[in-house]
Amino acid sequence: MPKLDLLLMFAGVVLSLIVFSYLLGDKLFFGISMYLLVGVTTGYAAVVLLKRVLLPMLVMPLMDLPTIPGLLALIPLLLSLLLVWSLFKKSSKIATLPLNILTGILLATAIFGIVRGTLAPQLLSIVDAFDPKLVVKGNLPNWTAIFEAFMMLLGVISVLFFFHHRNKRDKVYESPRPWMEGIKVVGQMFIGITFGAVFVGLFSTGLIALIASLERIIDFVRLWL
Amino acid sequence: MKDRQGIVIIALAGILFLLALFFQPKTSAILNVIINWTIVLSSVALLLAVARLITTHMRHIAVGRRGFLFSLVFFAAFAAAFIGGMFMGEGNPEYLKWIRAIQLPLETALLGLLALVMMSLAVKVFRERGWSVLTISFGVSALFFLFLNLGFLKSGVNPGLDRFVIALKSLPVIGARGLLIGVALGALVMGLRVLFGQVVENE
Amino acid sequence: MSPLNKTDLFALGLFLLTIVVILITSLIKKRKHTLQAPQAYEGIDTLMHRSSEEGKSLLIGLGEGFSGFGSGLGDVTGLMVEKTLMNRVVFNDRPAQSFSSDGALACISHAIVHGAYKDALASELFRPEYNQLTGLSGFSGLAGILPELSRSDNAGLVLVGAFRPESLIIADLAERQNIPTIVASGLLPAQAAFFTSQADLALGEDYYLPAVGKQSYTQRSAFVLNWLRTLLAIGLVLAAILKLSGVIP
Repeated sequence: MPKLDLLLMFAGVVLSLIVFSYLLGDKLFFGISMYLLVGVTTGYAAVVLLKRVLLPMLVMPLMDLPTIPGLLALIPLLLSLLLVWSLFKKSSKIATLPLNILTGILLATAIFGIVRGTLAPQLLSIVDAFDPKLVVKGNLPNWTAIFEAFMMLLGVISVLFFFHHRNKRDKVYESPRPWMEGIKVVGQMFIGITFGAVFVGLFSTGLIALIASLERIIDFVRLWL
Repeated sequence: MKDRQGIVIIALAGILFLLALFFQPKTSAILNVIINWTIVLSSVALLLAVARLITTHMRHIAVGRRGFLFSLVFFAAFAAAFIGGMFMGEGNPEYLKWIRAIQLPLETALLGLLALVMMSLAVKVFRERGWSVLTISFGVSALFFLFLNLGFLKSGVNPGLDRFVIALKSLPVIGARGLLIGVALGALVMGLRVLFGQVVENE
Repeated sequence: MSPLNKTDLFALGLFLLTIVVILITSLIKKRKHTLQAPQAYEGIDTLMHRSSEEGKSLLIGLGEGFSGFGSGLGDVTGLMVEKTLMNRVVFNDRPAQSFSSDGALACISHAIVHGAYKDALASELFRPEYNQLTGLSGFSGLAGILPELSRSDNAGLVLVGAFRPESLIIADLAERQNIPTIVASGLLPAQAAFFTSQADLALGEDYYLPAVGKQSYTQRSAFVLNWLRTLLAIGLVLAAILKLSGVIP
C-alpha cells in the first residue's frame, strides 16, 4: 500500500476513534474533529460555489456584454452587490431588497412543491384506493383491497384530527365531542406505529455506518498484525 | 417583520413567481432565468455567510477567546480545503482523495454514533414520555420492525403469516401519509399567510 | 401547451381552497387565545426567563435550509421564533446565539438578530457571533453546534427548523449537559428520531404553530388549520364514496 494511502487510512481511523470518544465524555478531541469537518466542508463548498456557480453563471456571461445573457446577468450582479452592501449598511432598506426577493421566490417554490408534490398526490392516492377496479376482483369483492382502502382513510383522518386544536376551556375527559377524542386515540396509534418504523429504519442505517467504522479500525489494526 | 416595504417585496416576488410556476410550460423560459438568478443569489448569500464565519473565528483567535483552539482548527482546515481546491481544481482526484479522507470517516463515525445514541435513548423512552397510546404503539412498532429487519420473520414459510406481515408493514405508511398531509397543510397555510402579508409575528 | 392533468387540477383546487379558507376565517371575528396551542413551544418562555435570571445564554438552532429542504418551509417558523426570542433577550447578561446551516437562512437570520438590537436602540451591543453559520451540510451543521453546547453557560437550546435525524446527537449532548431542549422540525424522520429524547417535541403540523409571545399569529393559523382539516376529511370521505360508486373516474 502506498505511504500516502496508509497515512490517509491512519487519519481516518484516528478521526473515527475521536468521534467515538464522545461516548466517554470527551469534549476537546471531539470538538477538534467537529471543527475539522466544518472547516473542510466549508472550504470545499466555497470552492465549488465559486468555480461551478458564480464563475459560469455570473462572471462569464458578463464577459459577453452586450449580449442578452450578459445583460440578464447584470440583474443578479446588482442584487449580489446589494447583498454584499448589506454587510456594511445593515440598516439600509435597499440592502434588504435581494433577501426579500429571495425569500419571496423560495416561499413560492416551497408552496408549489407542497401543493403539487405532496398534498395533491397523497390525497389522490387515498381516493384512488377505492377504485372499483381494485376493490372488485372478478365480480367478487376483494376484501384485502377494501380493508386496506378503509384503513388508509380511517388512519389519515384520525392522524389529521389528532392535531385538531380544541378550545382551551374543553377538558380532555369532559370533552363536548367524545368522538373527537376517540379519533385522536386512533391517530396517536398510527403516529406511534409510523415513528417506530421510521426509528428502526434510521437505527439500521446508523448500525451499518457503525459496522463500516469498526471495519475501518479493524482493517487498519490487521495491517500491523 | 414590521418592515412594510419588505413585506410588499416578499409578497410581490412570491406571488409573481407562484403564478409563473402554475402557468408552466408557457412561462418556462422566464422561470429558468429567474431560477438561475436565485441560484446565483443563494450562492452569494452562502459565501457571505462563510465570510462572516471566517471573520468570527479569526476574531476568536485574535482575542484568544476560550476555545480558540477550535477556531484555529477550523481556520486551518478551511484554508487547506479552499486553497487546495482553488489551485488543484475542485474535481482533481488527489484533492478529492484528501477531502474524502477527512469527511468520510467523520461522517460515517457520526452516523455510527447516532445508532449508539438512538439505542441508549430508546430504552428510556417510556421514562421520558410516559405510558400512552403513542409511546406504546411506538415501542411495539419499533420492536416488530426491528425483528423484521433482523430477519426473524422470514417470508415463504407460511402464506397466511406472509399476508399478515405484509399488512402490518403497510401500517406505517398510513400514519406517514396522515403526518405528511398535516405538515403540508401547516406549511401551506404559513407560506400563503406570509405571501399575503399577514404579519408573521406573534405580536 | 400540454393540458393540465388530474394532479395539476387537484393541486390548483387545493391551493384555491386554502386561499378561500384563509380569507373567510380572517373575516370571522374571533376571541383571542381560545384554542390550545402546541405545548412544545410553551417551554421557550421558561427558557427565556431562565436565561435572564441565571445570566446564561440561549442557543437557537435554525437547521439547514431556507430553500424548501424536505417538503416544507419550516425555516420561516425558526425565523419567527428567533425574532420573538431575540426581541426579549437583547439586554440579557449573556446574549442569545443562533446557528444556521444555510447561506440564505444565515443572512436573513443575521438581519433579524441585528434588527432586534436596532429596535431596542442597542445596535452597539450587537456582535456578529450572535448569529453564525455552523456549516454547509447536514453533518457539518451538526458538527458546528455540538462544541457550542459543551460550554457551561447555556440556559437552554431551541432547535426550530429543518433538522435531520442525525441532529439527535445534539439533543443527546444537551441532555448530558443538563441543558433543557425544545425541538421542532417539520421533517418526519427527525420527529421520529427526537421522539426518544428528553426534549419537548412539536409533532406533525404543530411545528408550524410556534406558540411564542402573544400568539396572535398562532391562534389564527390554528383556526384556519382546524377548518381545512375538517373540510379535507369531509372531502376525502365523499370522494371515496363517489369513487367507489364509479361517479368519479
